[in-house]
Amino acid sequence: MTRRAALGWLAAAGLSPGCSLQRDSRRVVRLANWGGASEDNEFTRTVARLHREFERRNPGVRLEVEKIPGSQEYATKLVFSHISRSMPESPVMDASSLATFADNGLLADLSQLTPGPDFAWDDFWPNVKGMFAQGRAQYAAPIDFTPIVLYYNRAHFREAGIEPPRGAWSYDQFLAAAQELTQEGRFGLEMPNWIPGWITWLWNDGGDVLDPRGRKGSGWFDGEASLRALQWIADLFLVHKVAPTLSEAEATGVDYFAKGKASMQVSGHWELVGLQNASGIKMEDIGVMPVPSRSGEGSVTVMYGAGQSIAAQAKDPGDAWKFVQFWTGREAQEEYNASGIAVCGRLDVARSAAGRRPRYMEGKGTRDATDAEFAAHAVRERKFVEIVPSCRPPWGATVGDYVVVETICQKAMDKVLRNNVPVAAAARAAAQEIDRVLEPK
Amino acid sequence: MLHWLVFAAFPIGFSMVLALYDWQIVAGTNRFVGLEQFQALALDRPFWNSMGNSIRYALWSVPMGMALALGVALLVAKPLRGIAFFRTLFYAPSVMSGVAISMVWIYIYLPEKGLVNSLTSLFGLPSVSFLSDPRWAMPALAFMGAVVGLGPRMVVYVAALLAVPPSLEEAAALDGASGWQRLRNVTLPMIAPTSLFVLVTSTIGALQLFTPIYLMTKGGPLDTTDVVGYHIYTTAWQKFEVSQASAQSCVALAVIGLVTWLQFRLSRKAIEGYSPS
Amino acid sequence: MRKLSVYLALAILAVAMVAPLAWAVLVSLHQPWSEIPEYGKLVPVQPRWDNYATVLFGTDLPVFRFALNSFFVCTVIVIGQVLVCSLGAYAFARLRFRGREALFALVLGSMMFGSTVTQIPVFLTMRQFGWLDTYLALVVPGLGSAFGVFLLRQAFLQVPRELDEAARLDGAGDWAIYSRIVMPMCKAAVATLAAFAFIGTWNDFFWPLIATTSLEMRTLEVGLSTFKNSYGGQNWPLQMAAAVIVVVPSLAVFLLCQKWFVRGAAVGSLK
Repeated sequence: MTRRAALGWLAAAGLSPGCSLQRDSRRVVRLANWGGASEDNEFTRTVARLHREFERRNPGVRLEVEKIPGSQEYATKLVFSHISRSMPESPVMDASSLATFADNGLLADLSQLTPGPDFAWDDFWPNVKGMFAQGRAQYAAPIDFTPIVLYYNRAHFREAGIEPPRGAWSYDQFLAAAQELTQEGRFGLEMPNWIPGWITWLWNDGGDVLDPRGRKGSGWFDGEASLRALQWIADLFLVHKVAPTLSEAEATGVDYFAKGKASMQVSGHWELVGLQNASGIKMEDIGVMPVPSRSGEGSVTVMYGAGQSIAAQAKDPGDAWKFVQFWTGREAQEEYNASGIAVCGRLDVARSAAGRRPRYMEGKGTRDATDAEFAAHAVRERKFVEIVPSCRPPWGATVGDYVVVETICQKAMDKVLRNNVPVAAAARAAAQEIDRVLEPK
Repeated sequence: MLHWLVFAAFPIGFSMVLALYDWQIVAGTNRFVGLEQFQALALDRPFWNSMGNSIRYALWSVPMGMALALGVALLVAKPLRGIAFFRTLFYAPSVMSGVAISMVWIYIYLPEKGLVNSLTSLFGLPSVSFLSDPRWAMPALAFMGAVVGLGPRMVVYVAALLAVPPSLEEAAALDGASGWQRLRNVTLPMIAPTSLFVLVTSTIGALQLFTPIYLMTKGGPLDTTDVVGYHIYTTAWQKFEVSQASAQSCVALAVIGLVTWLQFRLSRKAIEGYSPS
Repeated sequence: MRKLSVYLALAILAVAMVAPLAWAVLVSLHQPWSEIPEYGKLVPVQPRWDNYATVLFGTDLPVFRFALNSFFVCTVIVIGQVLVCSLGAYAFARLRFRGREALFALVLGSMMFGSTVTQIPVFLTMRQFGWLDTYLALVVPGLGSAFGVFLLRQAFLQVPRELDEAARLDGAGDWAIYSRIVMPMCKAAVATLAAFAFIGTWNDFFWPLIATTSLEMRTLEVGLSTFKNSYGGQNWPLQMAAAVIVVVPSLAVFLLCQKWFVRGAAVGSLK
């Protein structure tokens, strides 16, 4: 091929999509969800199957899915699409950034829409539904939710002769176990600098990021209790060395818990999906316990939830509303929830989850869980439901600029963990920055 | 022409007008505030920190990039067999995707297992987390800029070097000047206008750095790599303070203009001072 | 001896330049999700070529759509820049009008700043037109280029004026002179511009990042960053496979059009 021919071909190839983009006459409902590139697996196939099912029942409608990676970038990207006037008609809302959307009028009030015959607001957990409501307005229908819990590897616990507690551990008991579990090539704990994962250490030590009304950070994030908790977190990495430091984790580029290189991990229910293909831990060895509290009593945790919403910008909310009802309905949720991504927002499906034998991914196929795995699954699911009453909604459900606050807190933690900045100095600077952000405009 | 008006000239004017308002783009409210944005900006320490970072980046990367480009140009300007191959090779990184390059350089700078740390550990040096150590992040990014942007600068220098009449060098050689002396006293003055060109374009480029920051450091550690291009981006599209960001771009434009003008002034003097001898 | 040391220096530099890429290619052939390999284990025992298939077909990102978008936008912009810039350059090189020099200086001046300064107003303009997240937003702002006008004007000035005067005597107008005389004589410069426009657009990250929001409209470059963000610091093999895939087309264009690149970069300095 001559050079000219090659270039000509290239140009032709480049122009072709412009001419050939076919126009589909169906109305489009764009959905948005977090997530990014993921290899083909059972979960993505289930979602796709359900989407096709919806299209089959609603012949005039076509669904398009936007995936946005990074749970924290998600909110920013969606607001950005709002100002670009191209917000997807039905985005999934993360309870932890709901206020940003609600305060600025980006979402439609679903309680104003007429529900179909199969839809009832009473089908959902009241506190989960509450995370997506402000006053009388309901901005999303719950899909699913998860408390943040402490995962542990039963195999490692057996080897070390450690019994998991009946309730929650105290900080000292937790540290002793983590030290016991840390050995050559293995850490007691894996913990990234991700505030949803570490805010419970503050809460369970009497501290917090913001004051109870969510108006300021000073006196709280840099208050005595929070400083003690922050120091405790920092010491886990820097003094006791029971968790890989951030740069160690970066250097190896792996998920320690999944590789069997860490015995515990703070995370949500979604973790179980990724662990199905993990090389270093078996499904029947994954245990769940409440996050530790300073004294071991009254452990509180944070609850993250996803809800299906409708953009205020949507020209015709009718199709999107149909989708919201379909997606949060029993039929779709039973199938969707079987993926194990979270606790279902519907009471009926959530309560029956422990009794349903899960299907696990295996390479590109699937298989039914073995008896041992099923038993472990039932114990875990019951534990999750048990932890639900100790859940607090995330700050972002009520504080509009909380997404920015999270970034500030994470930066402060970064300074402490990577750059040896003293906890007090980092927290004080962050608290002042938080005050500036939350100042009424 | 119309296109230029709409997409180059008009935006500048529009920026300035925008900066006079307090436009809450998410909520959709807008009110005229005059010069308030600029007043706020004057006291906005994070913004001036980013300005300082950009200048620091330019001060690191521009001299490094120019020295590297000149050095390589001196090598590849020689009429050697196969030299075209090397020119192509050295040019290649500058046509590659900035995102891909950033991804590869994240690896190069990784602690422990990264390319640089693997090499230095052979000499028993301790591992450095280049991108998360506030002392190293900026120089590391600047070095990357110097290497990746080698191509065009090298080509410009080669063209200039080939235009230096060989007779001049030969005459100098006859006078007994060493290689270094010939470079310093003959070649460099001859290519001074080219150096000025490279200096100005590299500086302008350096002051607008964005992609590597977005992908590699996000402005961290401790805001030491929060350069002005990235700062404006986050102000506008993550905090959605569009008017404030417009004010920032006006200031950035003024600074870039000022730096360019200064470079022209100073170097013209330097060139004039050089040539008569 | 001297020659040898030059070659040695060149070889060292060459290795330094190639090493990162070679590493990227080698890592891209490792088992997905595996750890970053040590040096001794860099060459995979069983090369996983299927990683490339996974990236292209196996994820739920519309990779082909990204690629089509990139090719389409690049092609339109290349054609557009050649037209717009050559007309502009023709005006600056041949037509006489008031304030020509001042205007040309202004255009040159605008080379100085990129999207850092223009992003917000251009974004808002596109928003006003309702073009955001469509091809129009990706293409239209890229159609002109101050660099292109400058490059072509330099080339047009080299075309002897006697030629157009002769043509004018034969009754040719500006359009005929532009299309029959000036453009054909400056093919090399036009090719240079096309090559630069292609690479510049292919590798542009910033503008597509803010001008588009839906996955369907993303270009490969932004798609690659989405890919990177979805794996964070993990799964290097697939990340590197994706990076290699994005780099290959621009490298191919570069290798096909090398001499024009060299010319274009050099022209800039001959002010």
